[in-house]
Amino acid sequence: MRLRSAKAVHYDSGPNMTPLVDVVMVILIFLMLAGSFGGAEHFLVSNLPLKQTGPGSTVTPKNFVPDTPLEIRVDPRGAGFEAVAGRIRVTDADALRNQLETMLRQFRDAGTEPAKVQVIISPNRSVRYENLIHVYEAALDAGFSKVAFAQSHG
Amino acid sequence: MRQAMNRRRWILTGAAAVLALASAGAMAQTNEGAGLPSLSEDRVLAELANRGLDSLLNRAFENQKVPAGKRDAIRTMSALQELGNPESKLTARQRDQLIKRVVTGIESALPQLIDPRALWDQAAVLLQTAIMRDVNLLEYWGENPRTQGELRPIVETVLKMLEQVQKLATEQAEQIANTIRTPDDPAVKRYTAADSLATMARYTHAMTEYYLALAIDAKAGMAKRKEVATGAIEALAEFDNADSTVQPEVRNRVGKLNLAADEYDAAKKAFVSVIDKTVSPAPNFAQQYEARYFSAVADVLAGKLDAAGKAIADLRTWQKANIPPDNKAAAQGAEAAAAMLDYRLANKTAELAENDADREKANKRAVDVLLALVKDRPELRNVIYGQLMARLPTDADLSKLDPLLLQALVQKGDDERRKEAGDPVDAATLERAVAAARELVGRKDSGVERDVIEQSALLVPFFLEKLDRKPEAAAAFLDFIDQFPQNRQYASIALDNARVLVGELIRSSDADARIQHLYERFLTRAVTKFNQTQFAYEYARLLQRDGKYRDAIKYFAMVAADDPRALKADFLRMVAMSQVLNEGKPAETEKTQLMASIQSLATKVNVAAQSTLAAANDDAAKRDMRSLIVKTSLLAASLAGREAHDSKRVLQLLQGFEDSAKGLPGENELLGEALFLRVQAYMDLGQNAQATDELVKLLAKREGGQGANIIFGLLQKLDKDLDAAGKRDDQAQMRSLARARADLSRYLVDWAANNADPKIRQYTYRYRVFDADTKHLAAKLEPDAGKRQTLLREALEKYQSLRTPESVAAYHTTLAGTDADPSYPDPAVMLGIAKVYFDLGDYKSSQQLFGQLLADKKLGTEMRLVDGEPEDNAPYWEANYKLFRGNVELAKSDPSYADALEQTKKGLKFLYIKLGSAVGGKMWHGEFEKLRQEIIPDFKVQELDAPAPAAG
Repeated sequence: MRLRSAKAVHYDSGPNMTPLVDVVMVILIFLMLAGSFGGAEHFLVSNLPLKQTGPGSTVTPKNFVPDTPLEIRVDPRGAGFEAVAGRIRVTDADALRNQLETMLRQFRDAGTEPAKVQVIISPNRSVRYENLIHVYEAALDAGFSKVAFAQSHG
Repeated sequence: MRQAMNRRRWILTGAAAVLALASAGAMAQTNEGAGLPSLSEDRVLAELANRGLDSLLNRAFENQKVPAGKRDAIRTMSALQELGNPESKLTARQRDQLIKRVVTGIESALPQLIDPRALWDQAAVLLQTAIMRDVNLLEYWGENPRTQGELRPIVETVLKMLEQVQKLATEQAEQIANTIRTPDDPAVKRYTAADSLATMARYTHAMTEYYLALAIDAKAGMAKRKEVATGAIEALAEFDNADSTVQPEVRNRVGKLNLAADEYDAAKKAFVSVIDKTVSPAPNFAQQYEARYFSAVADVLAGKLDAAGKAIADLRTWQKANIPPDNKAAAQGAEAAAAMLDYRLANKTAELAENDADREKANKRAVDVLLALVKDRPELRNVIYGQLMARLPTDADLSKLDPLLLQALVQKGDDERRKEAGDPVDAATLERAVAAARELVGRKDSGVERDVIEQSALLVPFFLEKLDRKPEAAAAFLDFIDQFPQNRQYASIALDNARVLVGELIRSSDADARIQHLYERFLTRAVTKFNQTQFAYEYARLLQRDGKYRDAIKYFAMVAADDPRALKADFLRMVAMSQVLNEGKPAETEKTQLMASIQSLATKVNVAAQSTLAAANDDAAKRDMRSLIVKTSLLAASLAGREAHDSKRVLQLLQGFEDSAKGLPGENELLGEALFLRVQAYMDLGQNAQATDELVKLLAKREGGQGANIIFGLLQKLDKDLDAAGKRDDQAQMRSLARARADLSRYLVDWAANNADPKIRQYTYRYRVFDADTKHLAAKLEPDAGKRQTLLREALEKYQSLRTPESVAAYHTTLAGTDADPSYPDPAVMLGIAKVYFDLGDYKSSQQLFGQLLADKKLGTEMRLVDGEPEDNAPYWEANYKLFRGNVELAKSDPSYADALEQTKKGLKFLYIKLGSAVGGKMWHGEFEKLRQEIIPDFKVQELDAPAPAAG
């Protein structure tokens, strides 16, 4: 009874596209999202070591430990943005890239292959597309290869 | 006769004479007024302007439909009048504005200015108020393009006015001369006055042209300078004789004009004639000083460094010998002026230096001279700061600058800050001032005067505000209060400004958590440091929100009796007291006091609320008061049960509660709380049947949906109390609550399952899950190991019974309208079973279920949204922790789980790298930490934020 449904991550929708933005930007975002959905799907199929034995009854191997995605929550701050990714909290893309690079290096040092780390960008509904692109590029520049978008919030 | 009248004996002493005439002119002007009705329309306007009667002047403009150009002219006259009025108390800015108006309007005003005496007086006023200070600056400190740019149009204006005086006075003299018939004609006296005025204007014009020469840039406009200087010297030749009585002034002025024209030898020659006293009359002390001083200036400007050094030394010797020893002010002034010469000499030395080392040395000497001078003559601070700034590189390292230079930077920033709204602001100057002020504040223990430190610290937020960095400015004002609380005057200023800024920021559209934090900081300081009790209510609310209940009690009590929120403050104070009792583990004495206070406050709130309710006219006010009364009853009942253990009193206090709460906002929650208290009371009295009956009775009165809401409220209340008991680690209370829940939930399931209403029956499955949960928790809290095992197995059976086909079908009926996957087992049941297995030590089974739930993302992620706000997802963390812990335990006894242990170590590191100290959320972080120290003790979380090692 005390369980509440947590906000699920959806891979089937991007940030809100209703604000008036120029056409080029919309196309750019569309291409960007389309590209990352492909990556995410591949990840979902190939990375989970789960064996389906029937609806709702997967069996996990005895050494199973779940992978958890790295969520980057992006909220507007004036004309800019604030990105929160775990213990990272920054308001500019350069700082985000630098700190993600550091985090990725630490993952590698701790035995987790960067290619296994799923990054999910979770944008606020009113965050500017321009800033979203900065965040997306910062994640890619930092060395993460699987970057997807969650449903916009807020 | 005319010739006789032209024998001039002037009593002129340069500018001083001009100024002396000002008051006489003003008198003459007033006396000459012949009454407005006798004047033409133009004269009326001129008179109104001259007399400074602005409101009448504006009305006359409208009545007479005066063209815009003419209005400007007349307003110029008005400005001149205002400048010359000894009674007016103009600010520096107002004076500058009037001067600007005169300068821009003088061309159109001059045809209207037909009284030469009045115009003479006004020219004198401009000379005094707008010219002499800047001339002084340029003479003593040397070239300054900004000062020159400001000075030149004013000097040109005065020259035009003097030309007009000369023209009008000459015409007037000629008109009067033509009326004179005999030597003793009374008109002779008027003729002499007019003729003298024309001569004085000519003389003053020539002397003033020196100011024009000074106002022309020496580098770009030397040709023009020389032209002006040459013209002035020629014009002064008329007065370079003993008859003029002004020969020493004329020679000094000729010397200065030659200085302005870079004719240093000629300049020296003129000054030497005064020094050697070969002029008549003999030069007085001031004239001799002026000649000696500017003779040294001539050597400096000529680059004759040795000669200049000697001239300065001679000047000092002469000063010492000739200034009366009792005139200390004169001696100090002369020494300051000599120091300025030292500065100019050092400056020139730097300019002529042949290498960087010599240049730097001379520059340093120049700065040292200025720093010493500003210490001796603080009134010259602004001027000296201006000179210092000119010598300071823009990228100077502030940490190495002398405090006086830092003060100069701060002063410059303050000048920028004081600009009126709309005037362009130099952001770089303000930024530098912020940095300099902070540097000064950082040196508070290095001997810098405390007042300087405090002023600088207070200016920082003002600079930031001017830079439109309002959140930073507000924070800096609040920082000031923290850093300098003993300076009450400044701290009050800081608090007032912080209040205004925070208010603006809160009203702005982009108010965020940072602004909220500023607001809270402001409230804390306003109330605790300045005793501004008008904010006590808001502050107490904050304290209550943050769990500082004892402090909240104190500040709620400070809310004034006539404050409109006084009643609510009393109520909330009572709530805070109850919270202390609930969570604060008070000592017995305090507990007794709190109970008494609550009782007293409850009576007070009840009486006041009833009285307000009776007098209230509108529904909203009535609802508010009813709500207050109901909540007070609820609080009293809660305390009677929890603290006084008087269950009968609880039931008594809650009699008729449902009627009282009817229609109030949050009615269901209120009923849920009351129901909980009542059910608890019945159970405490051993009347379980009544408890169930009570529940059923209430639910029977409600629609299915409403009943479910009430049940939900009841369960929420149970959960909250369990959480509170858990935080206090009150095992006994937890056991008691868990048992009560376990007992109660059985009745809930029965009531729902047997209900005639299909809508209520629909909830049976959920109540069964809850029933299994309550049994599990009660089992976990059982201290007896044997009993615990038995109870855990009973709970497991309850969960297992929810996996039968009938139960799964019932589960599916609860999914209508949701996006849950009906082909997936109920995650709540899976989680419950996994947890029971874990508690039974069956880690293989629990690992499978936790793994499935996490792999299928049925528990969400680290955070979840509750009412739109993110919070820790405790079930997610619990499942993760128990999966990890299970792997560790399995690996201890079964080698085939060695890889599971390795994967667990890797997974745990991943979580720490990602989240740092947020791993596990508030509830499970402690367990994760124990696990980390056990399996990866060498993995140091605090090292994660260390800088990356250098590449290679």
